[in-house]
Amino acid sequence: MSEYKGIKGFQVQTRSEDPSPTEAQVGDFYYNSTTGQFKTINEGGAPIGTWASGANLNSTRYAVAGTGASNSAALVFGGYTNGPTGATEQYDGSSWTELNDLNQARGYLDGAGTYTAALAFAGLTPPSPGEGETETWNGSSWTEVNDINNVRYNGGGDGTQTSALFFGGTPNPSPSVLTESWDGTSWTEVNDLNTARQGPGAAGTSNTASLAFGGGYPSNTVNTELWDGSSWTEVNNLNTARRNLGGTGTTTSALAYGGRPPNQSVTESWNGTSWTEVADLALARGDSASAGVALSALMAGGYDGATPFENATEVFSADDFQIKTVTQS
Amino acid sequence: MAYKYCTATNWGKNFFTHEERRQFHLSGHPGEVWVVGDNLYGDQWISKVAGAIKTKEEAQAIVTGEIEAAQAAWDALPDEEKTDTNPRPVVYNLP
Repeated sequence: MSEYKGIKGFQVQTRSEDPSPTEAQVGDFYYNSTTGQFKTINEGGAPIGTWASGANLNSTRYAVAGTGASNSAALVFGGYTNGPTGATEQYDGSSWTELNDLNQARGYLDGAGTYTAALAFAGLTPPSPGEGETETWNGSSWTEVNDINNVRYNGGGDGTQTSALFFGGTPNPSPSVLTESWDGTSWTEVNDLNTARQGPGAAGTSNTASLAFGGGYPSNTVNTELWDGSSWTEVNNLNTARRNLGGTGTTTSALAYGGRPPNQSVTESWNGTSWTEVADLALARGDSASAGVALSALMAGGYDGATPFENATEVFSADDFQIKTVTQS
Repeated sequence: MAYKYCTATNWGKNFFTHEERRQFHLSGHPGEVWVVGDNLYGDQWISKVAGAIKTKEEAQAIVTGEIEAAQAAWDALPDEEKTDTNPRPVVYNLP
């Protein structure tokens, strides 16, 4: 029988407490003398993540936009609650705080940036066929800046306040393949998506690195495309077709969650190559705000199939590493 | 998988935690209906949230009633509001 020393080059370590793992420790096996348990250090990431409830929004709504760096530093704005709203709320991990409204109340808008430097763009304020308005957020108020070129709503958007991308949507055309790039001052039309879609998920950090997934109309799509700053390339598909879903992260580490119709709780993790199903949301819904990154995401508000004005928040968290107790089974 | 059914009001943060989501199945539905994995941890969560236990049939009736009310509201909308972003709600079955 092989001994641990023969495999790893040293004997089983005894620790009085669990370590804060590093990449170099993945695969290590040790004895915790305090708990009397053998333990291993494993890879973590999205596959071990879960959704928990966060504080409820102050303003119930759907078709709402969100942005932010994590599930404890997020901004949501706009949406519908018996009509379009410009309500803006900031989340600190414990509670939502109401701040100054958007100048243009609207739903089905998109957002980019952080909760202190955000960008809101596009949207719908009936009976208008769509909005081109773009607004910048400085941490306390919104300022109108240059409009999108092709007015539309329910597209996908990501990036920062000074480098963002907006793609797809409706009704110009419906569904749209159009893509526009924001450089901090103005929008420029760039190369089209390969697959027209409205309500896509979006993940990305700038106007040169973006991922579009899902969306569609009238049929939902699983199609995923990668933007490299000049063109879209088709990559591996989502497992579950849906539109009006949430999306966060980068082009190499993203999360797709929720969506409709029918309402979805499915969450999928993108590793730069393919999508893998991970832990479900507790509340199946679409048209929600999404914010954060792949290992620290947030979904707030939305539509659950009967109640159009959800105020629920769920937060996704996953550690980089996992310490597991070895049990006999 | 066996489930229990209850109604409970989602108060927000810590209504369900990451640890609880690892311990048992939990899904929320219209009408504040919750489908809960039938194990010790699920039972503890129902107690924590002061859930009112329902049979599956009772829970389904609540969900169906909520969705049918939403359907009636949708049917009453003017045609211009029955848009591609606002499809008619669909009744579904609880697990």
